Amino acid sequence: MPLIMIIYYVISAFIAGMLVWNFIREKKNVNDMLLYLLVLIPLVLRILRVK
Amino acid sequence: MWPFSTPILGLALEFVIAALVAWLVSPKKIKILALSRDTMRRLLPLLATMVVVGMLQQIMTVTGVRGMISFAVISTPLILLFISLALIIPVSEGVLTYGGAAIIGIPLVWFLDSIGLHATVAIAGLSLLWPLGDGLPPTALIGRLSVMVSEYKGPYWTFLRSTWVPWLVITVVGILMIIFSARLEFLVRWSM
Amino acid sequence: MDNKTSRLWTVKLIFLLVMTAIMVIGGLQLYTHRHYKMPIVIGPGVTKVAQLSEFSEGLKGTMADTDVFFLEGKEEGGKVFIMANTHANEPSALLASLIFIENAVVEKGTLIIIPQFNNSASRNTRPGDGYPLYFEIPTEWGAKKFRMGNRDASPLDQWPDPDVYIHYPDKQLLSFIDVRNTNRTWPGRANGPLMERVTHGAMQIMREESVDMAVDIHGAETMFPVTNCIVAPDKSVRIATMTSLTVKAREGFESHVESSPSGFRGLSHREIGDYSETMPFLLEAPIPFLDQPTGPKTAKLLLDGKDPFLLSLSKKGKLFVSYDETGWSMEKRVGQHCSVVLELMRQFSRRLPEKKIEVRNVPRYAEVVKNGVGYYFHDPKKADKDKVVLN
Repeated sequence: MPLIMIIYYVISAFIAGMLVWNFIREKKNVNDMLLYLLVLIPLVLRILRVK
Repeated sequence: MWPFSTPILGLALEFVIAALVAWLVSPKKIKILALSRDTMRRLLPLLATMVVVGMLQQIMTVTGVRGMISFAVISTPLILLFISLALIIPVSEGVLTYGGAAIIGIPLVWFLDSIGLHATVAIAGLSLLWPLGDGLPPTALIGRLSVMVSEYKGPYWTFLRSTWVPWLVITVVGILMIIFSARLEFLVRWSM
Repeated sequence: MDNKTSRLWTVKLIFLLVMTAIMVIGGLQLYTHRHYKMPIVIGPGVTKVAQLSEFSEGLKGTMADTDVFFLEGKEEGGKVFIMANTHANEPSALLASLIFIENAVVEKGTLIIIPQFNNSASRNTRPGDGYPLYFEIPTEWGAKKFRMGNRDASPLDQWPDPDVYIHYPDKQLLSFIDVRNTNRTWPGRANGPLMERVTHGAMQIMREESVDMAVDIHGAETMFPVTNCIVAPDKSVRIATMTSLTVKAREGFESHVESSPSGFRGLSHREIGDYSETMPFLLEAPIPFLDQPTGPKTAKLLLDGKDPFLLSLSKKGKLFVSYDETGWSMEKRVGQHCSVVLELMRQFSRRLPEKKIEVRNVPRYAEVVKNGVGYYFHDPKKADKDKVVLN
């Protein structure tokens, strides 16, 4: 896999990590909790090399 | 070296490199993780809009709703179509964001090409109209981002209303570019 | 942990479980699609199966590597290179090429066939366009299942896209997404992005084998002006014209000739002719499924091409092909492709008798329409194991 592609997986993992951290720390807004998980879906599928 | 040996970085990596450089040369200390988390929190509505619009577009296509909308646009009489483009195009962007170009744009441009209009100039005209919709609800992606970044505190509609003059100018220029695209063909040759 | 915190974590856990379930169910389907192996039964005419990476090393170990089928005749003659699924969402091309692979017997000359030219695209899905993951062709022995692919290679195999794709070597500026479209990356290069390596491999085959004709098989929307035609540059136009006239007169279907524009770079019908001695042809048959104003995107629409919106638009004169209640069946499209390819070879052989190409056992338009496409596919379960290639 070319280096630049690997860097993109690192970027995706970083963003996914930020979203997971925010999801765990979210205490008030139930909508936001759901949206964090929704936005995670494409990132997780890419990191796992499914889509 | 240019352009064929230059590696393809892609837009996202270009932004990441710019952000990293800004972080490294910043005179103030920046807590990058806290900043990243805060940015994610602020951008969450916009990111979720992008994901949901994609899901909506997929479901609309699978069920045939998207085809029905395309069919309605293509079947509209020509004069009425030109007039209503000022409304249809921005509204499609406001509802579907990037989906508007796929749902309406492709058959529209082919249809306009088939009646003798210049496809490239017509697309350029449509490209002026679509971004207007980035300020329209329900998605209002760019509008909301602009309000967020500029820290504008007033109601969103006040912000939108204040754009009426450039909105009108852009709309008129865009529509005229589409209608007179055949006469504006020289712009394409000139740009090459 | 107090009640409020406990409730909060319960809600979070439920959300997490639901989203995980959605991801697993959807993800498994996508993973299975990407790794689904389609069996191809090697016909009596196939003499060798190679990999494209043997001609373009940069493809080794990637999803872009693909099978190349050689059908070498008993006698020397002209050589024809057939590519299908350059755009993997135009399946009539794949089906026509498989009919050749599973049935053709070459008496004179050589056929070189790549049924999945953009192998990565055949394992990709199209976001937002509602494609079914698979489609099935009924045969005498059951249904043969095929992956439905995308126009462009998968981002899992080639990523990122440039802001603007600068075509090699002409430096024409193309859309960013065309870097993953193997009909924009011709002639390609050995060390370029993955799809340029694919087209480079194909150019190497044509140069090394001194291929006389290259046929790139496609499908196009009924609302697209370049449909139901043979696209040919100047060096191929004479044979294309004779083919068009002959299929219209003898077989009763239209396949007019479109000139290959010299200003539009990257396409097979332009670059193959400009960068080699090979005569290129690009075939288009109508595929209503790809049109925007259609009803639900189902496998049925893909196979029979019948749509009420397109019928209404046809009556208003907004389509570029004749269209009625019978739609455009897969049989018609595949039959057209088979007939046009055979006729191109016949016209070439007439023009250059010393490079005659003689192929038998491949059906023409009327036979495919009468018997159906599946009639010409063989049961992989009954074939010898060494005669089955898994794509």
